[in-house]
Amino acid sequence: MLVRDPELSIAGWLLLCNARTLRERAFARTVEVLDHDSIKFVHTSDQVFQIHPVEPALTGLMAACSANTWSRDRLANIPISRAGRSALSDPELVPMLQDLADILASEAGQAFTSSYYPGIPDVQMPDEHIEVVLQALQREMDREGKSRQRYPVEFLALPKERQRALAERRRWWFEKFSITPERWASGHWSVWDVSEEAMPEMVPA
Amino acid sequence: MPQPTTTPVRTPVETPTVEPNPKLLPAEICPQQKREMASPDVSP
Repeated sequence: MLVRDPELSIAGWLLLCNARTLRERAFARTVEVLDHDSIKFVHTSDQVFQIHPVEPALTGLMAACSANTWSRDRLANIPISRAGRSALSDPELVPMLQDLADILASEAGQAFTSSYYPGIPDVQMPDEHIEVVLQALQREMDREGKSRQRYPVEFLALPKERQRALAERRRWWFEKFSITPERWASGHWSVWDVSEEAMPEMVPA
Repeated sequence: MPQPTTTPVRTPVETPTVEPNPKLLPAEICPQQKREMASPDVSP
């Protein structure tokens, strides 16, 4: 990443460059301040946590945060969303979940452009929920299309099997970031339960 | 005998078609809008 995401602290930016897995990347995005022997997180920036890493690496920093009961707990309870920027906006994922947002946008585009776009056999979902998901995806595309004076793609114009595949894949990726439908109801996610897979290649670096 | 005149034939020119703007794809929107498009208010 050559240009720093304005939502990312400088410390988080440096850590993100060394992150290999989705979990490490999610952790890097939570770091607000790294001090002499303490750390602050974006979502609890009024709290300082003393840490004692023994390895000069991102994994060592994560281990030190896990060893501190309080910081471990804060990283296990991060809000999923925050209010939109204006009264007309919808809620958005917190910036620490930017990778999830980028992956979902890539998935949504591939539903239109890929020659092969299968669903996830293990994910069961009623038709009504698929429609709710697609209408939600469409909201932002419509808003953006209006501001750029371009017609956006239409999710409900996709073949039915692609609509289902997109909704199933959306759930599958949320789960990779620890957000199952049950956990979604709590409004919080945990860094410690994010997948240790690498960032998928379909998302441009 | 006068030579028959040949009528000039106009070569048909293919009218260039105007491509409409391609539809806006999700990959074209900015990071903040992608976070909004993820629709965290709708259950996965």
